[in-house]
Amino acid sequence: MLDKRTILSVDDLEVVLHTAVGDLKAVRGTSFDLKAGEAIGIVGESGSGKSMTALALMRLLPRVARLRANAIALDGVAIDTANDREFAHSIAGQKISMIFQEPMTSLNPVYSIGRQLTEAAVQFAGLSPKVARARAIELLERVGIPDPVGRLDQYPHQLSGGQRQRVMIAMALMNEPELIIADEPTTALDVTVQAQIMELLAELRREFGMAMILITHDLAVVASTVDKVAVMYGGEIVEKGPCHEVLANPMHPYTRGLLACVPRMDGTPRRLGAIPGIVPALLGEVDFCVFSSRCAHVRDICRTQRPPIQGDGQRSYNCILSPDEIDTLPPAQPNEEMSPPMVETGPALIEARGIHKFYRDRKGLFGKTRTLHALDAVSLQIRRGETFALVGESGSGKTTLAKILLGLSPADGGDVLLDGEPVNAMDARKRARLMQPIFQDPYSSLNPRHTIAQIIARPLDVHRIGDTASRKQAVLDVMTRVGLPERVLNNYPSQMSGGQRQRVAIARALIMKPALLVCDEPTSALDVSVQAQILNLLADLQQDLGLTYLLITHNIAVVHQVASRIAVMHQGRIVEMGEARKILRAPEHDYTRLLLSSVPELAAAGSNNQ
Amino acid sequence: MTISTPADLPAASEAKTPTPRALMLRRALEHKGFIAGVVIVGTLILVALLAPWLAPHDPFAQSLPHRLLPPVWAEGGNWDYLLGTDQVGRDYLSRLIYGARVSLTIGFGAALIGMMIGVTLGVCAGYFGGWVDHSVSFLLTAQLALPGLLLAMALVFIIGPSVWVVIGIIGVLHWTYFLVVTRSATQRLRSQDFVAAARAMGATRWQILRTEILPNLSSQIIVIFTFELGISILAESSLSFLGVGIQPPTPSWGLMIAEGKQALFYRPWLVILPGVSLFLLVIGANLLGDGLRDITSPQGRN
Repeated sequence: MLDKRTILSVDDLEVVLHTAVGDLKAVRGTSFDLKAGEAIGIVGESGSGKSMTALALMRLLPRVARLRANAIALDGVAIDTANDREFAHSIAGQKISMIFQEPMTSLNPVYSIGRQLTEAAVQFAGLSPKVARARAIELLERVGIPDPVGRLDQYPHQLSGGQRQRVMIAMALMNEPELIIADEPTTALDVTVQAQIMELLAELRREFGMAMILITHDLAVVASTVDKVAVMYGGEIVEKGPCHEVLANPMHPYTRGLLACVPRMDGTPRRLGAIPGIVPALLGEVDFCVFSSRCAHVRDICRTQRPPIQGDGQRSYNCILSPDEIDTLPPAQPNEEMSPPMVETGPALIEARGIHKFYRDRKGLFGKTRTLHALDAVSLQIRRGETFALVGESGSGKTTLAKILLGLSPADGGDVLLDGEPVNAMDARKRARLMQPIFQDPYSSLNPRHTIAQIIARPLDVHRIGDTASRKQAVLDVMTRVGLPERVLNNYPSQMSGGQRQRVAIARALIMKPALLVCDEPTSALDVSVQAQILNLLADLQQDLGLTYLLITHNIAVVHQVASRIAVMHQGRIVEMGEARKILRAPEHDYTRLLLSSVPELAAAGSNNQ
Repeated sequence: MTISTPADLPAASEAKTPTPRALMLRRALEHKGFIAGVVIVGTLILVALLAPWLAPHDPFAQSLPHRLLPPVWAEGGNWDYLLGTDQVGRDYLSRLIYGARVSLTIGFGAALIGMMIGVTLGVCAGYFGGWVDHSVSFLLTAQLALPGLLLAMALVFIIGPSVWVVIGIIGVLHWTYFLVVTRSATQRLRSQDFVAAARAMGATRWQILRTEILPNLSSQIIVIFTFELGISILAESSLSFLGVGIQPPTPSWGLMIAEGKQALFYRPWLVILPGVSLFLLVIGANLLGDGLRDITSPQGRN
């Protein structure tokens, strides 16, 4: 690899955001090199500065941001000195291409696929429309879009999310760029599609000899796709090196903590590690270790001095601890094994019998009615005290089922029995005492106009339980349970982090002391380290309060971590149901097998690249 | 096992967070537009309330010897009549001061009536959807298709003009903005998870509308309210100008402009003065509304 030329070299990149409260250095002193055909993964949680780095390279920074760098060179030519016009003409889209996260919004809905694909090539690369069209067809075929000629005249809404992302990739390849920047390219996609897209990117990279920067929060995705990895935290690269080395033998306390937070698919699930706290906003000059506020091994000197960079150009980390000292640190993940409660007998707490749901939609007043069979004879039983996981991809009907189970939407056939009673005929108060939901997005599940105290006490309010004093006491009790400090009582949701908000949502659900929590993707909007905190919290609450969980998720690793039994949903049907361990180890249905084989695994790093 | 080790706790944000009220006050004091709006609207309200004490003359007292005096700064003006007099010799300053009463009453009254109608219909249409939405949308289309001023003129003509009739009619004709804005905002809010959470905790529709939906509409409602406040005052002016609004001798700014138009070319102050007052009130109301929105919006709470 050493003889390959360096495609991209970034030296001391800095991005400063001018905010109302002061200057925020979103990226500080970031340097890395990339050789032809090499892929680097930039990993970090939200707010770590990874996307800012990508946007800075593409000059797509928001208006309040200022960019500074010692040097940014593409194939030996400085690109940070080019003016914006030159950059837009000859670099962006020509030599560097970008793939964005949201395929639903990154294509313009009013132009045909063909026009969007060929526009830049005709405008800037000087291809004739005919040649550009031929190349577009060739590329669409290459990225695995069936009937590419026909597709050229179609519009983005006629394509699925995975297909749109393939089109985006084809568009990025139109001008044979030397570097592709992919910012969370598969985060919005289903896991089976994610696997295909990642594989496609890897193949294309080999075929065209492009370098790639993959930006992601998902360590497992990095593990199976890139050569080297840079871990970012608080705007800095805290550790970098060859992918398998960093993942198998992390040095920086943050990397160690982060890896301990990731639920693994192999072996018995263990309690997840936790990085306490949240990413701090670092205003002004930072003359201390960025991780010092959350580090378990922090020393006084870390708070007053920048940590030294240890290691060589290949593998380095920024920490005061020497490699020998790091070797002696206790493991970041506790050794405590988790055993999801297995409940073999007993009556069902909630039972669904032959649920059907249809969605009808009619185009215009006189159009034909189309019927979508969203749920097809779904039956399941959840016993008191267990964790039942409903697994499936988007469109499988799992959220529709959850709404029906919660009594929020009527079924078109079949019944739901909660504690032996039909859920629709039940008194709202009684239902609320038996079952409470926790939603995916803690940003939309809390009323932004209410304080935390009001939000948590709301169920008591609705049912007129207790007086002001007893309500306040109940709120404080439940806040202690979920680990919320008392001082946030009068905060508004917008003042809290995602993890804290999800704790508030859990507290609100718990205040009625329900038996069953229906958690719809409770952690998928959260960072890995926050996900670990919430998963641990849910496990603790179950142990202490004997709660029953219905967990709805697409994340197989989370299922492996917490579920006792699972049901796999596909196109409105349950295709496989049973004990979690058995199904995850020996799936019987073809779809379950496909699903499991698509899950990216951390362990893959070692085997693939060594 | 303990529930959460201290290390598990989310860390404190760097600075201690001040109470929401203190934050709001601070934002209010930093918001120049809001302060200007408060000062303008506050002064006008005070002037209207204290009219009997502030007005130097009786606004209805005619004095033909003193008719059409110019303001004090113009040639021939005198200090007895600071802003001059009108065609029948009534003190113009006193009439402006009393006119503030009528204009403000009509502005607030009509905007309030419009708000009640528009917000009720908009929230119902947005939340319930289906046939409710269809009927409300039909009503909206019907209202939009009618020429407002003509309708108002016809109604006033039929019912008979008085301040309260004018308020009622202007209010009943100015709810469309409230409806359009609250309807779409409610549709958006309805699909939010916190509404689903409220339903799951057994909240009734009324409880959901009152505590989950309405508070989130407040900033939009405030903005539309101050906007409609200005529009209603202008509508009153148009009606009065056309002779079917406030009836003489009651002083109203719109009426004063109407009465002044005959003398527009040789006594322009008769039109300019009430015009400027009207302009100030409308600007003040809009500044106030925009300021309130910026100050109370939860986005600003970050």
